[in-house]
Amino acid sequence: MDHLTEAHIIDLIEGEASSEAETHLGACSKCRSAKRLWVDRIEALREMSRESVDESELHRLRVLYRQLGPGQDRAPRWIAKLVRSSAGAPAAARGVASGEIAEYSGGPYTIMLRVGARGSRPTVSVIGQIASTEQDRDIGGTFALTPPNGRVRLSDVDQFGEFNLPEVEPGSYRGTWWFGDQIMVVHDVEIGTDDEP
Amino acid sequence: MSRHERNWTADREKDQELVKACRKGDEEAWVTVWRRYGPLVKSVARRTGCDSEEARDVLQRVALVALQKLDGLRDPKKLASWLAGIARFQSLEMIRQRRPAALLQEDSAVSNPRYDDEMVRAEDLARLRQAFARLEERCQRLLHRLMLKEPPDSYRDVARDENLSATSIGPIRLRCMKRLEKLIVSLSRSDS
Repeated sequence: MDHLTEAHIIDLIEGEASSEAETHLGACSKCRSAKRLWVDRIEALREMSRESVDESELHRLRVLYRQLGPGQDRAPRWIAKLVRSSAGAPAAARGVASGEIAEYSGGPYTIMLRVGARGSRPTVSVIGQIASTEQDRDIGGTFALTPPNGRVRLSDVDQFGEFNLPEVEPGSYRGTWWFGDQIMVVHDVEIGTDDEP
Repeated sequence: MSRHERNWTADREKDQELVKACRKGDEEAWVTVWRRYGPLVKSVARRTGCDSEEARDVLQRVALVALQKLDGLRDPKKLASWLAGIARFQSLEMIRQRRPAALLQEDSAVSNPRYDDEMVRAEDLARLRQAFARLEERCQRLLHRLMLKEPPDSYRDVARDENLSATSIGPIRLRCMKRLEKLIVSLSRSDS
């Protein structure tokens, strides 16, 4: 028998193939590969047809664009500024007590960043905590460090405002915290090396 | 240039226009990008091992990265592949951050060599999605009803709705699959 045609392969996928086609498939790696390719394609298309983007997700994406997109100065957002940077700064990030802490402030929020010990050199771990000066404000969302070139590093921010970015290369970054309709941008974040022994 | 090649070229030119508009501050263009490619991004996330909730988060992460890196996209015609690549990286990052290392090693979705297979690579998914989108509407409907829908519709129902004879459904479906194959090959050639 010659190699299976696409019609044969479809029949095989649907379990309606002739015994001759089944026998050929068992002996022909090329046809098995062709069948596997179509099975994968159909499954991939099936998965994509199951996925959708609902209106609430689109709304969040729209908000993101309004606040961070080009020429979107009309949108409210906070530009955070460095207010403290020293080893003696309040160790507000729970569970960590060493290393320098840089504190940024914008609107009713503060972001504290510390270089941790858990990076694998030459990368470091960046541990952070976001806090609000207003008690009734929820905390969550996503924090990102964006280098001028290279990969953006992101972490979820938990309900305590904590986040952790492992394996960050020392250098200059823009920090972005995004939570619902709120965005805070820190323009110059300098990530140094881990100074712990 | 064949008709199929002209079709997908047109599709990519639309992507190029979308990227251009997004760079200029066109919010509707931005939303169109996600209506068009959001399902692809989520599908990449699911294939990489994310659950449904994680796939939603991956979509938001990919959007944030895309927005910050949009000016650096050298070939806007390859928007779909670019987004799919970001989605794969962010999915792996999310899994690493959320799951203990021991679980990650045992996670078949991440460690399974199938995920290095040509078909499941993010860029291949993007090409497949683009190729399917470029099929004629009737082909898309037929393939969806006969092969993608779960459970699939019967030949008889499809024939009735499409005003065709039941015996013609099989051959038409086969032609549609061949067209899909040609489109995928054209896209692959272009990318390489």
